[in-house]
Amino acid sequence: MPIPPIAALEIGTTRTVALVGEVGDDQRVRIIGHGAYLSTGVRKGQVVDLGQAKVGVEIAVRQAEDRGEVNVRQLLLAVTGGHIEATVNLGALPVRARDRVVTREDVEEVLDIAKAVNLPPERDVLHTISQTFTLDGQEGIAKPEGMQGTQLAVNMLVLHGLRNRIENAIQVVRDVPFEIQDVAFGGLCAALAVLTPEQKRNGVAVIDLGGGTTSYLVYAGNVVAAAGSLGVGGEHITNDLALAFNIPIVRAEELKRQHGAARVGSDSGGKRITLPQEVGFAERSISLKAWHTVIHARAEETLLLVRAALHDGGVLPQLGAGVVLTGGGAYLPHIVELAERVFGQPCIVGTPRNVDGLQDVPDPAAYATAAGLVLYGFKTFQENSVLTPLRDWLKGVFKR
Amino acid sequence: MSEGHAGFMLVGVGGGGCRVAAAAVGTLGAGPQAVGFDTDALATRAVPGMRCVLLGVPRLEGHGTGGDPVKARLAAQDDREAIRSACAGASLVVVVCTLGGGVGGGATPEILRTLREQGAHTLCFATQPFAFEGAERRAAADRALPLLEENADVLVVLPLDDLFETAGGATLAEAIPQADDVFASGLTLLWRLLLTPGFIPLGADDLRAMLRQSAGRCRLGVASASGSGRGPEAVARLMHGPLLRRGEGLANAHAVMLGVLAGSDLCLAELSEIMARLKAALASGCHLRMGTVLDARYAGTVQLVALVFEGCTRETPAAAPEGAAADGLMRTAAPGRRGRATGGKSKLSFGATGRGRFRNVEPTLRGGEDLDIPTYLRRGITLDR
Repeated sequence: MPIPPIAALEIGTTRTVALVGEVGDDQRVRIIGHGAYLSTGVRKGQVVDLGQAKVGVEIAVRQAEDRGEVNVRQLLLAVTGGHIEATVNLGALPVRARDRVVTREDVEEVLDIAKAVNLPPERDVLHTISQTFTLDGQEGIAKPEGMQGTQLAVNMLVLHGLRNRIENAIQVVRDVPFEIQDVAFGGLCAALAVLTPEQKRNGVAVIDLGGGTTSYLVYAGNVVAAAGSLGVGGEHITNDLALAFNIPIVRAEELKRQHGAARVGSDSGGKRITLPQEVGFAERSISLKAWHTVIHARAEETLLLVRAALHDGGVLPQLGAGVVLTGGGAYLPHIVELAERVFGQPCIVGTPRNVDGLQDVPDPAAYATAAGLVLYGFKTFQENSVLTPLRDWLKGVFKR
Repeated sequence: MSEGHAGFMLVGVGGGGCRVAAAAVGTLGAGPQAVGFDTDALATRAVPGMRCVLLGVPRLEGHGTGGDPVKARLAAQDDREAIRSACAGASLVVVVCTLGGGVGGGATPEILRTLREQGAHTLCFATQPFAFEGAERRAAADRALPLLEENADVLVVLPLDDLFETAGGATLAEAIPQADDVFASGLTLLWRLLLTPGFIPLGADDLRAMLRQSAGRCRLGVASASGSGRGPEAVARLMHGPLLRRGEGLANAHAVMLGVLAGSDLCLAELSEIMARLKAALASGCHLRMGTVLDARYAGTVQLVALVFEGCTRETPAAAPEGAAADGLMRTAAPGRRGRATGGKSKLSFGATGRGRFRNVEPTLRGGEDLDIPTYLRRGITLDR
């Protein structure tokens, strides 16, 4: 049975991105349609105006439909925002069999125990990701089934977010109207899109530098060991610039793209950016050094906050494969060297390598979350169809 | 301007600002160099005893702005050269404006910016309109405040409603002149203090030092009393008057600059009692500077003027040097500490400003810091201009 195409949507703070992907004969996911439109009504990853956000969704999805020659009825939605947190929950269980051999039932039960996290009523679970098992104190066991022991334990990384915030994003999509097949954390999707299996094994942090949020996800020893999101992004850099130099937000954004840099280089001394005259603003010039100082301060602070979060999660020493930056912010000049300095690790820009069909877009890293969400969709589809075939999945996207 | 005034200047902006500045100049006599800026030719002619510069003549043809701050800002931008030459040589400028109309809110930020570019320190006094003047004027004033705060070294905001309270049951016709009087008398006092060599001098250097340390906002308190017991009486009026929010303003102060103007009959005991009472109202660690001016004309009375600074940045860490990154979080300003930046001030003392487009969204708080406020401000990084 061929797998139907899957549509994925990311309602970002600066851009709403829709992608439609299908699986080729080589089992690789190929993006057949993409659409992007400027977001309005979204701040720091949160929908603040349903009506405005809906416009972006409609246009982005329509573009993707036209390019892919499909009709979308259902889609997957990526969510992000500072409210998304990860909790590590421990599940433990005595091995029941008399011969103390761990059975498949033991494994499933301990996973269920670990998944049952006690969350405040306003929060919903987005993902539960099991870490390696521990058998009688021996850590790092990937498959305990068949091994001998008395006490089986597993840590579960539970990603959760505020229900109302997630519902708001879902509501925008339902208003269009589309149905939602599934919701996934944007930071997880970005990691799926950009990481190699080797990076995951050696330990790596993916930092998705979005417009309104900065999401991070760490693989240590081939499992997701930490994740989270900060309500700070590229929009903050723009806002800092607008306030520091008393220029309109739109102008600040444009100039950030032209003259942005995450370091204060020795070459910027004495140079100035000329601002042409606009209504209400006289022609003037701005010191390039001051401009870069403002950007550097914010970018460094954001990365330091991520570093502090990784430090608190105990995963900082496990980044054998360094740091991968993705999202639109990864294109800020000199952000890679800044991240290398902050983390003391090699750092690269990650583009959606695990999907094809995005070669033509000028800034593929900005599509990492949506591309990863398509991958996530196929992964979930394949896993589900093994256990319980979901008929609903077939209805998502129709070929025209 | 007499040579002894060493670069001091009083500037009135707009109709109200010129009126107050002229009143202050009137009581000071041959006092400081003063200049007024307005767009309305008729209004400038009505200001006695002070030189006035008309702004934006080609644009507005000598008419008022009709309450439009944008017109006023453009007019001031047109005439930056005139502003520069009118204030040439000034190193410490007190700028007075009344907010709610066009010129006060629109032109003052431009004038302050021009002065700052010239290297002058600026102390801006701005009144907020009476509540009865309507929500529109109040909103116009509120829009102008962040711009003033950004461009002045220190901003002293005087809500006219507070002044009005001192006027008691005054009629409308009395209220505004009376408010102007309180305002002008505060200015006059401050001015005398700065310019008259007193026994305990409080000079411009002290004020400049305060300006450098302050995080932007300050309150003005004025009180006077006469007869026996004038000292304690004046302090009580100062502390419990509405201008200092009935003592609340003093309790939250980081630094206070007190000026005492009295007749030559002022006793040492009176002075120490004034200081003791004031000190008792201040938080421990508050920096108190005092200066006196004795003038025979004030025999039997004592006048107090207090500049109460609400935020100081003495401990602001040095700007983060490039290259040191991994431990940078440690250097980040501690929660609640006010950073000094952009060659002048922090905007943190204002709840609503400094957040820009994040004004109406839930703040991103982390370790007690509001991450929506620009990092360079919170870290106290000074920007090259």
